Amino acid sequence: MNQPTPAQVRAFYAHMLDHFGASVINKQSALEMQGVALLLAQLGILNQDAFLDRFATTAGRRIYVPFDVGEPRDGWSLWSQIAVCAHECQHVVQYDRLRPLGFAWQYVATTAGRARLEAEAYRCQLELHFWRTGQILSAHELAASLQNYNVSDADVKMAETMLRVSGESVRRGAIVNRASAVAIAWLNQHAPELRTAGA
Amino acid sequence: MKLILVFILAFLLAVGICACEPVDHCRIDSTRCLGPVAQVCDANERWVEIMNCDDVSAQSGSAWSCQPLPGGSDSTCLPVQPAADGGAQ
Repeated sequence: MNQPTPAQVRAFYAHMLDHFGASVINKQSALEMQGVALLLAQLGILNQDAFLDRFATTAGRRIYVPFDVGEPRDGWSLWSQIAVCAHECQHVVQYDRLRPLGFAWQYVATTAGRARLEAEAYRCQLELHFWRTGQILSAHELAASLQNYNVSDADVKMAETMLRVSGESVRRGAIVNRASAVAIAWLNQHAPELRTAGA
Repeated sequence: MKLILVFILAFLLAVGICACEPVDHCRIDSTRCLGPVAQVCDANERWVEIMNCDDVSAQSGSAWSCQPLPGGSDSTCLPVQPAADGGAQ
């Protein structure tokens, strides 16, 4: 399977960030993220190193990623950098749709709201993986990622259902998320060789 | 005067109460179509949007509508199939 080049990843980020009016920041050098990591660790929600190393985070229009864009590292292949960019841009779409207070309320105040917003964003991974391989990612495995977000088992189950039925639409050719639509249009134009799917 | 105030207060309370949305409890994890919107029942037993099929149509080309999945109990956006007589659904 063809891998994206560093230049393609950087160009993809430039396009997505410009389209959604967002910016990208290396999470490990961002003081505000060090503070959030410390807070999450104190609250017993997430290990500090895990938060800084394994998770991208979006706050408003600022996307914090634990890598330098276009430089692969452990756990962050160049393709996964593309997929996570679409995921985080979908959070920007949600932020615009719900407005800052609505987004913050849904994401922070209710586990059900957080699960739904994350499941929607994980649909980007589903859609981009289908574009690339013609295969549908396991809804069960994708939804299991939500266990890192301090949500209930019932929330994870709802997310799995949401991703499973989304997969049924995606396998029939649906592009649901706005960020996926923008990403796939760019990939079709600038990196069609990454696609091994006949679909 | 007092009676009028009490009446106004009672009226406002009644309007306020009547203006509340009915609570539509659902079975967790079930899905349904509400017009062009596919919904799932969340952990709070409230219907929330999975996707809007009108948006899917706009982004994916062709026409999509919310339908039950063949052979299953779930609902989601699926392509609109031409009617057997050749007309559009």
